[in-house]
Amino acid sequence: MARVDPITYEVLRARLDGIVREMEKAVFRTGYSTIVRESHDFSCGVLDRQGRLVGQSFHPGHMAAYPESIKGLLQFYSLDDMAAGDAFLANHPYYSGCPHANDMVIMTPIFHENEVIGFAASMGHTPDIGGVSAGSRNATSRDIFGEGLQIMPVRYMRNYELVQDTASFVRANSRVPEMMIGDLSAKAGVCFTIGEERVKDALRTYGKDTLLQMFEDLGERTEQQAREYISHWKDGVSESETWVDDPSNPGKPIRLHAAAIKEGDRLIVDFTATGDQAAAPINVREPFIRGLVYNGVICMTDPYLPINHGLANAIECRFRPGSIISPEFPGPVGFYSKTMAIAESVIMTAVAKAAGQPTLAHGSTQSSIVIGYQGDGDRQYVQYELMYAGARAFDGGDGFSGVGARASGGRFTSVEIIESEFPVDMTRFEVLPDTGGDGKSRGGPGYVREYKVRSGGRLSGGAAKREAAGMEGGGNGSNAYVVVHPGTDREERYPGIASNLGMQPGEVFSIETGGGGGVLPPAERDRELVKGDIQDGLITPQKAMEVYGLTEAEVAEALAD
Amino acid sequence: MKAIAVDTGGTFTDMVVLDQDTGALSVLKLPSTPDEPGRAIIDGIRETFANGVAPSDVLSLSHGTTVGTNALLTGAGAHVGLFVTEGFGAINDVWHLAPSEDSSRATSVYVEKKPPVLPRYRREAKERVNYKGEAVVPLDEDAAVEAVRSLGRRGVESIAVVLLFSFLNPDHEERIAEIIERELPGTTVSLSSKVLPQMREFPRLSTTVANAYISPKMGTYLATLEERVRAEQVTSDALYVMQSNGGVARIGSVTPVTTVLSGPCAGAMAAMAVASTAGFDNVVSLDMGGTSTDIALGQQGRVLETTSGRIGDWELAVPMLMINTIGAGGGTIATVESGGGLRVGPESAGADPGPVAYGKGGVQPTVTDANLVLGFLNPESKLAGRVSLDRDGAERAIAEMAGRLGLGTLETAEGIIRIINAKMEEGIRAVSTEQGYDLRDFVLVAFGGAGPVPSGRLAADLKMSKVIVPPAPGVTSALGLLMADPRHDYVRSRLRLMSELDAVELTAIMQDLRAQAEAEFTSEGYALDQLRLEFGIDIRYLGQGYELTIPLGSDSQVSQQDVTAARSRFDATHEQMFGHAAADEEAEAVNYRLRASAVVPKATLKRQAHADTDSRVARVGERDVCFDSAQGMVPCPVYDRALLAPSHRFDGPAIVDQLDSTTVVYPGQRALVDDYLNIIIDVT
Repeated sequence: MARVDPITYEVLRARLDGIVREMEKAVFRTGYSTIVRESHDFSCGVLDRQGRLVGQSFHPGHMAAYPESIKGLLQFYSLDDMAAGDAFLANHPYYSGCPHANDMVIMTPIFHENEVIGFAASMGHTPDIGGVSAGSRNATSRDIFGEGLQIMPVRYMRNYELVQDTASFVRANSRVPEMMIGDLSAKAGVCFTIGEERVKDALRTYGKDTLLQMFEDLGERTEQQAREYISHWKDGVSESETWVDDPSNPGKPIRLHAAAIKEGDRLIVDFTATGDQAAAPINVREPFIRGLVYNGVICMTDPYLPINHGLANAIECRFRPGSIISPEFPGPVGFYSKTMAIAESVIMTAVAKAAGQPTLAHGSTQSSIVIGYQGDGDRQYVQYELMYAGARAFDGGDGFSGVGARASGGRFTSVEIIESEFPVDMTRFEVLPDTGGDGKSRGGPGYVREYKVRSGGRLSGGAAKREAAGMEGGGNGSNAYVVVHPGTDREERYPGIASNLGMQPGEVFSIETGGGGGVLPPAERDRELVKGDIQDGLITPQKAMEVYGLTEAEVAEALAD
Repeated sequence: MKAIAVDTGGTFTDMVVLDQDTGALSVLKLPSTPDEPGRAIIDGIRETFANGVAPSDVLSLSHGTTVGTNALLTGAGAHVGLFVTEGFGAINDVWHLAPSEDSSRATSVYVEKKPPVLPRYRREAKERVNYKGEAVVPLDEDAAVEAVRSLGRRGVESIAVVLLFSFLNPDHEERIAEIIERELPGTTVSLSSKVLPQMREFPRLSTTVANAYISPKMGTYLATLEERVRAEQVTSDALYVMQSNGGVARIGSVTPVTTVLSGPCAGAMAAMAVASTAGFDNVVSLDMGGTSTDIALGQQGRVLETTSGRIGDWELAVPMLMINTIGAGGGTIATVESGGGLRVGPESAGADPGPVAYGKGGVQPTVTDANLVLGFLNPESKLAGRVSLDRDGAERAIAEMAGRLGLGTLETAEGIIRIINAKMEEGIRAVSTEQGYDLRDFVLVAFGGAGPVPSGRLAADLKMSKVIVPPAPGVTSALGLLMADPRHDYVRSRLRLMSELDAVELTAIMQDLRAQAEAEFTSEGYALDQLRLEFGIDIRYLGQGYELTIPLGSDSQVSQQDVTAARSRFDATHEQMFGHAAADEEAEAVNYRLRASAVVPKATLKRQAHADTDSRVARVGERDVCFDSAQGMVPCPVYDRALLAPSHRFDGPAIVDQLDSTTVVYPGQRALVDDYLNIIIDVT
């Protein structure tokens, strides 16, 4: 069939955009657990019957995860085995696009006259699927079997009703069974009532032939558009790398390397020089990495580039099986997000270079803490916080403070809420000078949040141990730390992750987040900006003189009131 | 008496004068004066007086303003200084928001983000109030004096003070305000305990700093305006500015940050009033102008509100109407993409050069050009009496585009409309179905010059039952200004488990809110018996990061049963909005609210007598219109809006022409003129 006319194409594109956005909003509204809403770590997609993505709500990591999930599904169920009202569930990192067991995907076939014409799907974080500790994280696991219940694609609903056999397995393996079933059923409901219904609306309006042709055209046009953008880049190889700290092999960090190879209108991102998979659960499966690559290209070209299978055709990713970002079964992946955030920096920096865009340093990664308090009587509290860190600098601009991985951000837990809700007083929330990487463009600084507990408790938290790399003579950002008894002679500083530290009433701990990397030598920085940084408390006068070369007089001028 | 409303747009300023006794409307269209927005208002007043209205006859003068919004969005506000609690500078210094307003797109990595106030203009107050409201570290006043002086030396014009837990205990903030007034007289002071005494320090800080940022400019603008209005001998004390919450406030006493959505709110309020007079309570308003379309949803006659708004990089936690503005207007431009695709919007030709048909140098086809080629717009009409439309020019531009697309001219014009309609439909879904509302229960109120053209098609596609087109679509938004009551919102915060919330404590809070409202309205000259009070509690399940506002009636005296009932209503509301509830889980009260309005004499829509004629008297001719490019142009009856009277009925296809707008009744749809001269189109 000939291509869909440009007007129908544009109308259907707006519709598909609308369908996945409406699905996303509905999951957000109907998700049972607060984690769905507070972390916003989920997305929704529509795929064709071959499992090619035709539309997805924005989530960089998920861009290649849906096709992988349908591919897994089709290994276990043929299209003929499916009926309207079926919903399938999976979380297996090696049989779906889910990065670890906590992330689960629901897939529902969309029927037209007794024939599957596509799928609606929703993937996202769920609160608990078993394993040795609440939240299913297990730093000591050495394979995926230590990371909660692993589910190969399985029927979760039949004829729009829960399949009790499946539900029982899920319930029996979660600390919060009703919340899990609530979240999964909410996702399935959204796939049915919005994904399926609105795609069927489009079928009625435009006919099956046009819609199926549209699915082809979307990919073709997006591929064409992406290739068109890429063809304007300079041919060549652009690299970026860093090292990932391996808790199972201290002192032997793992190399994470990307080479963006641009030839004509092709882009290949080659990760084959990346080091071996870790014994520790910090491996990341390929689909998430592919998604970050597509996101990098979108960021460097056109934020309105549609998210669909055309991207996969235009951009090739090469992996080395057995590496930390292409681990082999049953390599553990529970803490994949620590490596993922680092990979994001490596990819973004390499793709920016390939695209001839301004140089990007690496960004810092977010810290998190969990504190369990034993309150009065048998009242228990669990305080959980995500803390965004220092953003990367770029040639032409400084990093700021308070950005998360995949450029999400914001939403600090309020000091006033924390003190009112938990037996703890906050004593500091301040930017830490000299933590952003030095450079002509300065990396975003880290900051400290300090707590004095009113009641005994146990603390775990931190971030990946790593300094965000500076570029072209720019300095690294500082590491993140967990500090107990800060400023006393008992002070202990833990780079990376600390777990299960006991705290007595009246004791103090703090979280220091990392800084982003800088770009170009600090000596080239505009002296007025350096003076401003002193005044803003982002660097110390000492650093201004030693690293940025300010004179004592200039520092005095900056400090003059 | 005459009520005057002024709606300041980017290009034109509409002035509407309503005769309270006869219900007659007169409309003035003036060129806007963006460099000095008040000048167009004064020009309009003078012209009105020249036309025979006496200054003493002015009952009220209401206007919407974009002075504050523009200052926020363009970075043209005041030089602001800030006080925070010692040790907590990062509440300001660290970025607290998502990097981009649009979370559905990739965010550029090449952005620099600045905190609300540069840290060099941020000072720390040595003080601390704890979560119980106790001053555990007293304010070091000497240090505060020093800090104020240093801000003065650095030339700040406006100072925000945002201390931890000041919503429980404002003493230290108030003390610092006294010091500022003494040390730096003339400096504007914004206290978080006054602007927004609400829990969660960052939204409170951002809102308070935004207020400090726009205060000097707004203050000057409003004071000058008041002075000049008085110079025209207007004696009415009802000089109002529209607020983001859909109520008006006296221009002498408005809190600047409450005006940032002043413009689009008037339209949403007008739509609610129009629909409820016509007998409909569930409404989607569609206000389509030259560059954009504002969409809002009203349920039971009340526009949905939010307390977590965002304007650019500012988070604003004051109550605002929830308005979705999308880049779809008459001037929205169509372009052919490199891959051969047709893209419509979001760029707009605005009013200058405007659509090709304006003949002012525009060369890219726009939505208006497409509507003209399809016959929906009358080529003979002179838009707003000022610009005539060049149909041939529009057709040439679209034919040229059609050639590049390999399509016919009509097909291309129809295509532009289909694409922009799809975007508007998704924009309507965003405020309705995406929030859990079923559009089948809603009517679409379409206005703005361009709104009543596509509305019949949008409503049909979205399975809405009816479209209401008010009598003067071009000035409906201005009318909204005349239908709004003065309103102020008050808030307090205390974290309390619902199971432990004591009616005595709650009553004390509500009485405190009430006293504050009574004092403010009294000082503005209103009588207590004019006040309408609506109390509410913001409740969440323990651990959730957001709350729902649950109404608590109009009495500040609250019983324990009221608390229990509020808890049940919270579960029910949660169920309705989110599809589930957890009646067994702990819920927590966070904020206590009072929405206070003064019921004032204002514009009402007047019922008109039924006609003893039928719609044939208004049928003035025919023109060729394209409803489906496959069928080409077909003759379509044309009605003159001015000749339509209550009880007139006619069926689509039909076009209704009037000076400031065109209404399209699509084939198969039926139109009725109601007692208020609205056209009610049944689209089912």
